[in-house]
Amino acid sequence: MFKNKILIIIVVLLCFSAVSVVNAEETVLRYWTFSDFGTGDLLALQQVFIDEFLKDHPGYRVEVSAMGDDELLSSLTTAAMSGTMPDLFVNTTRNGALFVSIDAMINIYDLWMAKPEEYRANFDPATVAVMTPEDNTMWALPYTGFSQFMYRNLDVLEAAGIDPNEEISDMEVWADHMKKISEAGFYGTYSYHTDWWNFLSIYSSFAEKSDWGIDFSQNISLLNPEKLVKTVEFLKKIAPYSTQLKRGEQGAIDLFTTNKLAYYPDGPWADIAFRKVEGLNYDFALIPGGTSSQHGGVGGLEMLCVGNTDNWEVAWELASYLVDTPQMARWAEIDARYLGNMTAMKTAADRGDKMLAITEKATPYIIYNQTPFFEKAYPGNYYAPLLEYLDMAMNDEVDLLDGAIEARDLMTESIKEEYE
Amino acid sequence: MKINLKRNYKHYLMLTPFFLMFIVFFVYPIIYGIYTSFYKWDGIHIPEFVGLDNYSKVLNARTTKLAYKNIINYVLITVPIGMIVSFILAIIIQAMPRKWGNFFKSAYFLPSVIPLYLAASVWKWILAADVGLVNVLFSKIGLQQVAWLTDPKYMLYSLIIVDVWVSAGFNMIIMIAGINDIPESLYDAAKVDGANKFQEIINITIPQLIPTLFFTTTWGFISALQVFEAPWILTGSTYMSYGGNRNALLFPVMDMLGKGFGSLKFGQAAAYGVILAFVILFFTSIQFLINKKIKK
Repeated sequence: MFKNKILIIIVVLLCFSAVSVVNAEETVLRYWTFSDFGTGDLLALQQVFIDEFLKDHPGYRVEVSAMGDDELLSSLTTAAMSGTMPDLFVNTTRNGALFVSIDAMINIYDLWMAKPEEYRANFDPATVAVMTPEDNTMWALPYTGFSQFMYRNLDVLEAAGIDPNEEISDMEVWADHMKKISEAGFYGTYSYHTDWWNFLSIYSSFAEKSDWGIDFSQNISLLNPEKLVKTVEFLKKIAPYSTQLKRGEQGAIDLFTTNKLAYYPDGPWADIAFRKVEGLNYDFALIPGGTSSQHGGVGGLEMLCVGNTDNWEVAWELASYLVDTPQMARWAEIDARYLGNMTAMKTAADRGDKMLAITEKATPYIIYNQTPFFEKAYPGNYYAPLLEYLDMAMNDEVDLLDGAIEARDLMTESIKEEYE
Repeated sequence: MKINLKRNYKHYLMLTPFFLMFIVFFVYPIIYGIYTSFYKWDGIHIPEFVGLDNYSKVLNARTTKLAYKNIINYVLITVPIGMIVSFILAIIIQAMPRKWGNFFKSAYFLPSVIPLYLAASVWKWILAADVGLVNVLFSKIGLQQVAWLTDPKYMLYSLIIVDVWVSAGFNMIIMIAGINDIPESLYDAAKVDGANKFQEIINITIPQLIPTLFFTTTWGFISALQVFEAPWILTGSTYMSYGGNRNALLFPVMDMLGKGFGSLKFGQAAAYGVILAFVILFFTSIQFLINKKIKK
């Protein structure tokens, strides 16, 4: 009996040591990404890419972890603090300065330049320029992106007697449409004034690209008070025709999918939920602008970074494989959003993908969410004075222009507090 | 009380794992937090000693003043309401037949075991504008809809509703245990003297329950001062923008987290934490003093 016990213990120990030998031979590459990229069809597709890559790179294993925006940001921050960065990670360029400040990723400039010209020529030069904020410094590979447009519920438009083929020339016409929609018993759109991102969707219709973001050379907010006032006047006008719910709230999505809300400006990710709803009759349109030659919308870019780890060489190889044309062309087949790899995006555009077409149309007009991308991190709760002003303005508790100037000055104050 | 190490060393040895964990996960973070509060530190680069600069920045920041104003309002409303609701529930359940009492005890306790983020998410749906259950019911009975989660006039009360819903069951169980400990002879004597149920509650139950009420109130204060998950979820906060409309639900822990992970000012975040710890200590000490006076 005693002998048997000893034998079992030896066998168990041998098994464990065998497992550790196998593990010791295998290097794990950790790859962190957004939850919409790391789940469902996109995860399955990326797993195919990874398997293909691993065929030529035996001895490696790739662990993909998908997280929500805030969770990914805090996980990357704590990983950088504890020296346990993932080998590869996806994030938005608006966090770029934050990651640079904590040495989260390596400078890939030399690696990028070492790639053949025909490889580099596939990528959008403007996006490459964004990732290369100064000479000899490139922080990430161009990955995906978005240019905001609006989803239109065609059944609601029809019920309100609005012809969807008639182009909405400017915000005045758009407000008139929403009035009609409201009179027919539907909601025109969602609420924009309680969230800075949603506010930017409309502000971008009146403002120029230079009216948003921070000028770190002078530490000032670039918010334009006059354009802010125009935005507020429009928001006040459409408030009676809108739901109080905001973009992304389940209630607002439900209103759109149950034919109760007409216009839902958002990014390509919203389409994942919409296209699953049977019978939902919708299309895409540009967000109208303050004038007929203008349009609105928020833009953003996602980047693929090589973490500051010992495995950076193989991580770079994997990253450059993932964004290469054959892989991104397959990506474009299931997710028609802006791709940093222009050649791959063109394959989707060539097959007449409507969402990609509207994205391309919207791109010249959008304002990037949080520029400049790789210079300095924004102060915490930077948008609080803006949101406070918006709420006061919507409730007639402040002079529109004076309040707008004060909000801009408070935002500037927070930048100065941070950097002076 | 003498510590006889020679005689009791085995007992102390058995307590060692706990003390090791306690030192690593409790004492060390506190000391390190205090140490960090005197440094400018982004979590990566070498910390730079800045003396009391972090404290001065935190105390003078606009958001800190707002966060403390909000937390005082919140604590002063939510703790008494929470206690009253829990007490009423405890009294009602205690008076019920055993079978029904057990059923309602479990039902009211259930929210306490639901993760707070889940409870807050459910309430976010219930209180949502236009399509939320409460607003739909309001519309059905002809009342005007309320922007529970975006109108600064109502946002604090929405949070209090969630908080009371979550914590009342837990406090109720503790109060029931306290009520069960009250000698039955006191109630018998009161009955002989002709006291009605209300007089029994006022003259016997409440005075006898003071130690329990003190515990639940103190615990309520400490938890309320650290409120975070529910307002964060109800306002859809992110590290870049938190606290909801007009910062109506901005609280110290949220601001501390924003300073830490939103702008990588871990020194200021640590100073924020130290200040908050002293505030909690101050309120708790006052409660102990009041309790001592009541006992006297």
